[in-house]
Order: sequence, then C-alpha cells, then structure tokens
Amino acid sequence: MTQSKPNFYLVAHSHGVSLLDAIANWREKFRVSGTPDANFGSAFQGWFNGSIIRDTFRTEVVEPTLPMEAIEAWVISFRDGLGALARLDTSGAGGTLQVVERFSRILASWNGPIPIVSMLNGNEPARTMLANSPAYDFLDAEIAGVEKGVPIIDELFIEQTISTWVDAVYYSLVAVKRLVNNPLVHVLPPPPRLNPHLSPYLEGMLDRATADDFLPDRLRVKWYRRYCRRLISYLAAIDCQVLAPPPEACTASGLLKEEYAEGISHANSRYGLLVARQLASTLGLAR
Amino acid sequence: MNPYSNLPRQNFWNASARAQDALEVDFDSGRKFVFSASDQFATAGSCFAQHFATQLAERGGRVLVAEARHPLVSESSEHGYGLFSARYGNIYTVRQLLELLEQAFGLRETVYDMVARPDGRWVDMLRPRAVPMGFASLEHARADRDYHLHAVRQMVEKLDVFVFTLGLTEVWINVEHGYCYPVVPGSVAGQFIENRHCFHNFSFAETVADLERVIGIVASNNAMARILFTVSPVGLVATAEQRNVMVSTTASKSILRSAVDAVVRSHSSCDYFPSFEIITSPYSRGKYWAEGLRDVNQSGINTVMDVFFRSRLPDFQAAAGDAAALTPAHQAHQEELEAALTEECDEMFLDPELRSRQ
Repeated sequence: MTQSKPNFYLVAHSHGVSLLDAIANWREKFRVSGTPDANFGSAFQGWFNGSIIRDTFRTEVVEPTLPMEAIEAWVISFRDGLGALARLDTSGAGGTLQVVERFSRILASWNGPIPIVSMLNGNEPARTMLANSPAYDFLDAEIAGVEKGVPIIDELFIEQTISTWVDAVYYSLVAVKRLVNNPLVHVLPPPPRLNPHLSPYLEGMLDRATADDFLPDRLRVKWYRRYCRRLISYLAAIDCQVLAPPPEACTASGLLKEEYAEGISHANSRYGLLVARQLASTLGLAR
Repeated sequence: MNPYSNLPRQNFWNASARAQDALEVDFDSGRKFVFSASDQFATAGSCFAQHFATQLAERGGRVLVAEARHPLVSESSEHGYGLFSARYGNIYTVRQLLELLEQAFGLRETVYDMVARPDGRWVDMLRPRAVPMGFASLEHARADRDYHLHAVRQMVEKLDVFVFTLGLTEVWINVEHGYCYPVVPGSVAGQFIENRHCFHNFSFAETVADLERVIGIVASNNAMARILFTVSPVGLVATAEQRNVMVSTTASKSILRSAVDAVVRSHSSCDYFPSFEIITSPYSRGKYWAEGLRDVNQSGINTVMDVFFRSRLPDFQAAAGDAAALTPAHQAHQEELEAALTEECDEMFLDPELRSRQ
C-alpha cells in the first residue's frame, strides 16, 4: 500500500514538541532512556539527554478533528550539537551563506510543492525572562511607558541583542528559500507565560522559583514582541509566511495563559492543537 | 607673648615654605573631620572632580555609584558611566548643582531640554557630554533624565561624604525657563539663541545663597551626610566678561573660595579641602600645571590625593603613593588617564582652537 504524501514537512527545535504532541503519536519513534528529569514534564523527557530521534520521520496525524493525514518531521534537539543550521560568513566580500550539511541534505529530499513548516529556534527571548541582572527597562513602540527608578537601556543594545536571536532563524530560512522551492511558513514561538514561578517545571533554569526571579510581565512581553516584530519584517522580505500565536491562548496583556504552558518557556499540546488548526487554515488543508 | 606665640608650624609662612614636600606643609591642618575606610563618597563638580573620583577609587576609597553601567550596555560604548557617582557630567557652578538637586527632590519641575544631534541621536542639554553616545530618541532622553534624577536622589540619601568641587561663576542661563547650562548652547550641542540664552556671572552673595540651599537639601535628606568642598584650580577656558580670561579666572576662583569659606564656618557638617591651594600656592612654584598652564598635571593630582589620604583617610595612609616613585608603566597609565580626563571637559568646546583638536 502506498503511503499518502505528508501534508507538510516540519523542521523544528523544542517548540515543535507542542505541535507533535497535539497531532501524532510520534513518541513511538524513539525510546526515552535514563532517569526521568524532574526539571521537565513528560513532554520533554528525552529531549535534552540525547534520546530524541535524530533523523527525519513520518508520523500519522491521529487528532481526528484536523484535516491532516501525516507529516514528515525533523526535530532537532540541542544535544545534536548542530548549532545554527545556517549562518552568514562575513569573512568574504558580500558574505557567504553557510548551511549545515545535514540540513542541506534533508531539504534536498523535501524539494517540491509540499509546504515546509518551521518551528526553529524561538526560545532565545526566554533567556531574558530571569531577573538575574540589575533591574532595567527599555522603550517600545507597541508597549508604552517604562518602569520608574530603573535604567533605560538604549535601543542600540536592545536591537543588538535581538539581532543575534533573529539571525539564527532568519539565515536558516534563507537557506530553505535558496535550496528548495517549497512554500514556507514559520511559526512564532509562544509568548512568555503568565505566572512562570507557578510552573511545575523550571526547565533547569532555576532550582526553585518565586515571582521575583522573573522580569516583570510587561518587560518579558516587550522582549518577545520586539523579537517577533523584527523576525516578521525579516521573513516578509524573503516571502516566508509567519504564524502568530493563537489569540485564544494569550491573555489581554500578551502572555501565554497558564493552561497552555509546558514548563516556564514552552507551550503544551493544547497550544499545539491550536497551532495545528492555524496551520491547516493557512496551508488550505481540507478533508 | 602674643596670640601667635603658641601657634603650630603650619601657621607660619616661612615654616611652610621651607617644608620638604607638600605632605610636610600640612595644607589641610584646619580640617574639621576625617573619614573612615567604610565611608561612601559621592563626587561632583568640575573637570578637576573627575580626577578626584578616579584617584579615590584607585586608591581603595569607596566611591558611591548611584548610576552604573547595566550589563546589557556594551562596555566599549561611550556610555559615560564611571566618571562621577551619577551621569550628571561636569557641574561647574553651584547653581547648576542646586538646580539638579531641586529637580531630583521634586522641588522644581524637571527640565527636559533635549536636542537632536546631526547623527540623529539626542542630547540632554543639562549634561551634554555626560552621555557621549547620546540617546536613541527624545523619549529615551526624557526617560533617562527621570532615571538620572532618581539616581541623584538615591545618591544623596545614601552617601556618607559628598565631595563637591566648585569650578566656575560664569554661566549661561535659559532666561525663558530659568535654569542654567553647564556650557553655552551651540558649543557642545544645540543652538545658541540670543535673548533666550543669557550670560550671568554669579556674585559672592549669590554663590553663598546657592551653597546654603544645597547644604539645606542634602541635610534635609541625609542628616548624617558630610560635605567636603574643594575649589578647582583649573582656570577658565574662556570668559564672556569684557576682560582678560586670567583676570576672570582670579575673580571667579576668589568668589568661589570666599563663598566656601563663609558656609564652612557656619555648618559643622561642611568642610573645605585645600586642593586649590596645594596646586596654586607659591610653594608649588607652578610645577603642577600641565602644558597649557590651565590643567593640573598628574603629579599635581597625585600630590592632592596624597595629602587628602594622609589628612582625611588615615586608614589608607599606607596606600598613599609618591608621584616621583611611579613606575614607567604606571606613569604611562597616569598620562593616558590625564589625557582622557582632559577630553571630558565640556568647557574646552568654548575655545575654537581647542575645539578643532577634539
């Protein structure tokens, strides 16, 4: 019996787990080894210890409400040691795009009309959520006002910081555009979660947490939105569609609702299901 | 017997003039109080005050840092942190200090006098060189001024010793809104507008009145604070008076020195440290002037600080060094420091010749 073609190809770092957990029994593809890690919930057991499957895999979509049959995925744990999938080598005139060989090979095998969905990177803004430096704030075009009595960090340094985060995604997707002809969609990471200190899983970032261990909500949202805005503008320039977080998963102030969170910096399968529905709509999938 | 018969050596000119070195002269013999190693110093004032803060920190003194570089701010950028306890830049006149404190403690409206530079960055005209890289936007400049005033307030509330170096009496005032600038608009940044920017030279009476108000604000917000005044020996770069700049320098320094003398006599929490006399007295035979005869050279700075540490910080006596004993490497470092600090003097921008070298 011939397998149906996948509805899309997924290339993802850790944020792809929420989507995979929502739509497929993909964990059958690998066996979690070692002692359970208390820093993570069940969704991320095996993710950080090298148990995760390293090759592309096909998985059937088991969520009956979705107009999807199967996807093919390549999920990349940081334990793979690949680093950025593509980067701009600026040593020569004009710069040269350098692409990780395995990424090139996988893209070549995907070349065609089936859309590629990227859930690459995206956890970089989470690095700023901990209050591990003196208090500060910065100005933002979308979120008015600054906290009183703290230094205001110059736009220059905020943009420098965000550039490094954005570049990691941007050049990977530039590589996709250069190497293959597939339609391309990038899914933005979930926003910072409400009440991160109440999360049962601290993802190895803290031993225990209180509200004071995290930046104020407004500042976390500022970092996240600034990152998203910059990324959206870059990706628009290479004709890459971008999916924003599902509005129903977010509070009025732009935080991820607790019921959609998995740990302190990731979303869960409930969130992943909302993303899957967005994708079905964006990709024009229908039964 | 007469009233002079039992006075100590330092009260007599000949004894002082015959002294082997500045330490033996005991310039600071009239001191009211000394400080301890745990005292936190905040410093402000003219260019000379920058040397004071730097050396104080280098020799192990505790300089209160109310406004520090945040880790997100690149160390190599021209952020302006570290010259003084907060990023107020050079404060040349007592009125400038008074207006800063009044704003910090809500005694007057915050002054937002910001201008755009040709490179698109923004400058706070009340501290035009305090943040050399400028601000990203008008909104940022205003927000940073709010934070700066907050930092100044915190500084006054936390300090043990406030060292203020008086520099000038000549000033340019925004007569529309009633505040003074550290340097005339149009020199470092902004535009000079006749009838809005007017020259004023503070009198002795005005300077004393301003000092009294400064002392009052500090005391009412920090009852334990002690204030140490010094007068900068550095001459004026230029005078707006119709007379020679050296004549104006003498007039300015005389007014400042007299005003400090007047207020120190009436406030037990205030004292004077004679860095001005260490540099300018005949005893020094002019050897502490840098090339150009206006700035103080590194040997002069070292001597001032040697006297300061020996007289005021006995806990640190062992650390007091002799400028003559500097190693070549240390000397080179000191010269670099001297050059760097000279560059931080806003006043340099008044002289077209010096300005062209910047």
